Amino acid sequence: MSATTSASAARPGWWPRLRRNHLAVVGLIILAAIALIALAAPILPLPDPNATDLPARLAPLLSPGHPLGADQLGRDMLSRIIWGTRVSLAVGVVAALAAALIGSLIGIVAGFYGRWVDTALMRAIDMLMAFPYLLLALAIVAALGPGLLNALFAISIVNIPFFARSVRGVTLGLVRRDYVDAARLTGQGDFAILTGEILPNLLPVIVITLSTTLGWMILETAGLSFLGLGAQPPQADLGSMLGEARALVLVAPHVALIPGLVILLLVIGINLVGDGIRDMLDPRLGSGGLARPGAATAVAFDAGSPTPEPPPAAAALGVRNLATHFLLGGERHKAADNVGLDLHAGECLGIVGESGSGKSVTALSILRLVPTPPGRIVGGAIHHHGQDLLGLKPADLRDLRGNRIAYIFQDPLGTLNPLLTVGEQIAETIRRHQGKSRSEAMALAVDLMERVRIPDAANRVSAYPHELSGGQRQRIGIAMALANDPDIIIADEPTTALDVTIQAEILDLLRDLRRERGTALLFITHDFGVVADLCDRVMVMYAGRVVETGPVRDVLRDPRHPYTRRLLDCVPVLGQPKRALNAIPGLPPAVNRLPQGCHFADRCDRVIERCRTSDVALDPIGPYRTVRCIRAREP
Amino acid sequence: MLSYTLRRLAMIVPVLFGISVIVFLIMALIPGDPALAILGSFATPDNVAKLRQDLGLDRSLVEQYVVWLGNLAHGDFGRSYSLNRPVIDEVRERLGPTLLLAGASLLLCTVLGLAAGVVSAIRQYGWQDKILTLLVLIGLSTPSFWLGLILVLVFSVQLKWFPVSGMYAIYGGGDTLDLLWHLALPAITLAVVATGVIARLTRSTMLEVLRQDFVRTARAKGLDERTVIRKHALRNALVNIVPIIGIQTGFVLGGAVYIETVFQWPGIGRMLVTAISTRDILLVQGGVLVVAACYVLINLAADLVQHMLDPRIGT
Amino acid sequence: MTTPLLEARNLRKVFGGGWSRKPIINAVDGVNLTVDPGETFGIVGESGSGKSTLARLLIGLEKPTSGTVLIDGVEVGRRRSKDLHRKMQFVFQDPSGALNPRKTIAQILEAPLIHLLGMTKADRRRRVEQLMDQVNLRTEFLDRHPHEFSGGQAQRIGIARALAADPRLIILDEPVSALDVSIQAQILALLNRLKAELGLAYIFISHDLAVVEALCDTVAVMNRGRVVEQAPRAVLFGSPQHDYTRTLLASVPSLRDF
Ligand SMILES: Nc1ncnc2c1ncn2[C@@H]1O[C@H](COP(=O)(O)OP(=O)(O)O)[C@@H](O)[C@H]1O
Ligand code: SF4
Ligand SMILES: [Mg+2]
Repeated sequence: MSATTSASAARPGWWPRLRRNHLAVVGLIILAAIALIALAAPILPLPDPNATDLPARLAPLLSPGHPLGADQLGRDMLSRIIWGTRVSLAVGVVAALAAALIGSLIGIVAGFYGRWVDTALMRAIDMLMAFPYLLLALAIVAALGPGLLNALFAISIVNIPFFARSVRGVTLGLVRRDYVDAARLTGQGDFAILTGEILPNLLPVIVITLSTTLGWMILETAGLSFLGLGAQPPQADLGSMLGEARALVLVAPHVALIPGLVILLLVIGINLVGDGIRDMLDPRLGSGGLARPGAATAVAFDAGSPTPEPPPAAAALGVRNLATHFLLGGERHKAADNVGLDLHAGECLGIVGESGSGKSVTALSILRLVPTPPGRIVGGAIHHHGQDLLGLKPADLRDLRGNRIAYIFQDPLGTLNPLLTVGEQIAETIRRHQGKSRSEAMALAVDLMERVRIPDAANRVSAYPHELSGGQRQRIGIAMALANDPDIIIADEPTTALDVTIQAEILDLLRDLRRERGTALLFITHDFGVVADLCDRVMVMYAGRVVETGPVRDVLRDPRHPYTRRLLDCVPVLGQPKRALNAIPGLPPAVNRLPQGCHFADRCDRVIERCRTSDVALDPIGPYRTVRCIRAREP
Repeated sequence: MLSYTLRRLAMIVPVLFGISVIVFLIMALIPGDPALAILGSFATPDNVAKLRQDLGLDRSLVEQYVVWLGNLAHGDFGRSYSLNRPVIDEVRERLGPTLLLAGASLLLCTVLGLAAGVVSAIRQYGWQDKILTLLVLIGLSTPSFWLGLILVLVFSVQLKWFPVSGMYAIYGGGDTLDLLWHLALPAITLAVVATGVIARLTRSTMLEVLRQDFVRTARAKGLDERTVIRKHALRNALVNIVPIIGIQTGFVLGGAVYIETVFQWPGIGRMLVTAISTRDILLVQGGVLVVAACYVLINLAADLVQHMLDPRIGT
Repeated sequence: MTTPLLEARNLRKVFGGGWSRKPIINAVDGVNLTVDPGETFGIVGESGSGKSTLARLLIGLEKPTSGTVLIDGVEVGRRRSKDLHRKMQFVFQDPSGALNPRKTIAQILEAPLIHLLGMTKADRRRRVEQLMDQVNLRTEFLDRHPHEFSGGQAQRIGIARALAADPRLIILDEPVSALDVSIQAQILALLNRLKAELGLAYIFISHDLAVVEALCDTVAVMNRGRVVEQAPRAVLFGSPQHDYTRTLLASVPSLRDF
């Protein structure tokens, strides 16, 4: 849980956010212009839209008195278009609102009461959805007879399912939310919960569905009118004007094309505004979409950033002055800043720290797996056996990934592809780096699965991730990492999502594998117990920086940074129930507004003035130990 | 797979049943006397009485339904008054052209929509994405009946590349080439909106999938971008896109009504429009039922494809 | 002998089966337990062992398949749930998920005062400020929305809401599992202080054995819906009897040797 990252950053209101979306503004202007003209029709100096004037029939564009020409009965096109737009817009809006109201109501009731109410209502909705959209509308118009009101009615009905379904889906999710349970426990009845807890959270979905369907509804009512099933003469909407003029399209194309053009403009306006609203309410659905992470983190050193000192060539992995920042909404989040580490062959280095301290970002930076955008490596050096990783060509970087350096990630379900068998996912990396055939790779995959102690590996190799338990899935993750016998494995909280008994098994496995193969392990965790159990050396991170490093035993017995010391005091230890848990007051600083000087100053009990004035360096305080604290040498 | 297919097949029985109930009820909704509505106000009382009996209007609603359903089961959809022939014959004749038109445009919109969506996602914010997004927006907002007119005006009347209307040339036509030549414009017109929908969905789904952890895992294995996108991202995206393609079929089948009208395509859509204006209720009923049943089967196929793609569903 | 504050007799909850064609799961399978006034009763177990279902049965969010829960010797379900929830409250695992994103903190804290206690507006304002004070949050926060708070702060608000109706027992379902250790320590300290000040009893659910050992008087170990072992803290951690308890204890990586 990353402290107050979102806390203090006030979210801008809806208008500034919508305004930033230029397309939405264009849409809003189109829509507002059309709507205003349509609304103003009665007060505009327009001729009667139904007044026939045969001498002027089919007058071309820009004729005197008829700027948009005249139709087959000599009626003024401009006037007819404006009055027709009025009708189309009104019918579309009314149909949309009616569908929204009825559909949402059905959706809420079904989702909230569940069980047979849900089953009954949703089966009925499914029946409506079982018809091709327009066909049901046609059937209804067939029964009720042609006419604008009947068309409105039909279009409304066929759109009800869209609202009912999306509202129900969201309601189902909301009903299971803890805060709805909490409301029950505070004595609120069904009605209070529906109106107070659920409805406000449903409004965005309803608005989103409305914004998608309004455009269709206008198109479809126009369509029914075009077919002669909607507006009946002398009443005219844009669709019926188009329909009546269809036969004349060769003689006087403008009479048919202009109404269509207005429909197009109107619907474009509506869709642009709708996209803007969707982007604002739910970025995943919108036209903009979420930014796509590139194949490798961008490396763009800040101008004037100092040349980092080269890491020692002896280290399997050496990192110096690594800075990985996220650029979000014009702000710079210094997720990892000035991070250095050395990992020697066969060694296990633990990185500990609370969430948001920059552990994962550091780990992912090594093979440039931090998503860009928004992430970016803005400084530092990363060397693998003396080879500079930040300067590698993409193809060379890929040759290294999963081959010499491999990752194990935290969530064993989300990190496996749900559609491929686990065997295929292991074999894939073998084929990529060892050039083996499919069947050879599969055989090796079975071996690897046996190596990570998956029982009945020969059969499990064709299982899908969802068919395995959490612990087994993590074993697959480990098998994948081992596949090409890498010299470094980077494990990012590989046991955090697992139960303690499973965690113990996985830690055992990692320990054994390390002993057998001598692989170096960079092990990330937030659990000091795990570090104590597995690692040789440890590195403590706080707010994007390394604050202390040293051999595990020394750091745990004699922590020298006030943060390490106080963090250890917070950890309950099994078998020592009387140990006083001393909480650290306050919260870690947000990485987009780091204080000057020591990042821990606001929570430190040893803070002095000097801590806040200048940057604190990571200083050696003894053999193999470094601490970022100006008072580290004091007892 | 087999057991899933069988289960899914069994599930369409109640759906077909439900469709028949709805169609029946809609027709029961007809205000006033359906017999009068069908025959028009100039009908003789004798004719009206006879039709009432034919339609079983003197019986209870449930009885009427049971009889009607029994007739349907025997392929008896009643007799079209305006055409004076069995509804089933007319519908059978016109189903082929409609399915051909819908199938062609479904093929178009799937191929084009997927391609556009994937390119857009991969080149997010690039010029390709911007152009495609604009095209998609226009496609989504275009009244297809109007677009049809424009295409006819430009490509048939002005350029004379394609025929103005119909399914075969009146003189000397009849071969496949002639058919395709006639099919091109209507199929393209009909595909425009659905292409927009599929392209847009593909783009957002791809973007979403590309952010998932397993894509990072694939990259961490050293796979190249082509493999990451094809094998890992696109496959997962398709799982979400396939059902939407199924639903798009519904829009395409419905939209065919306009297109058949504009291009004089001899399908069910045009038949329905004529039937509605002549108040030939039985013909409407038959047409709607048959097309809806086809749609149910297409959705079934989409479900089965999704099941094939996704091992998590069913079993 | 005094009547226990809460007693569960042979509680069972079965999910699935019947119409739904889903596999039958005995989520809670014959659990008996008693909690005395002022006691902290710990429940540990791995994921899926039935801890949360048990908690929801006790608080009445879920109906048992069979068995009874008694509060002050009176069977739950025999009385209005409002009476029950004045005596017994609940704190959820996911701190921000338990707060409606569209309400202000003041609205969230006032809900129990309105619906459970029927307080007047002026009284409510005073009580809400007192609650914020009790959980160490500044009263300026009252007009803010949940998304503006960190996990630890959100959990304090959840605790304040549970305290609002002045209950005698609070069930805490993994209240610190989503929090970092330094924040976890803050919340545990807060819970200890509130208990001392207000004489509360807790049912504290966790998968973290060390936390349970640090906090609880009596501990029950759950596995597959059953309580496999239940004993006073010192006994359970000192000389565990059941194999499963032993495995669990042996699995915890510990700082003990440092
Ligand atoms: N994809 C991302 N976009 C924006 N910010 C991110 C992203 N990933 C991480 N961060 C930010 O970087 C900081 C460090 O995150 P992380 O390395 O994940 O911490 P840890 O692994 O120690 O929990 C956090 O403030 C987090 O919000
Ligand atoms: S530098 Fe100062 S504020 Fe920072 S940890 Fe050391 S003593 Fe505390
Ligand atoms: Mg992390």
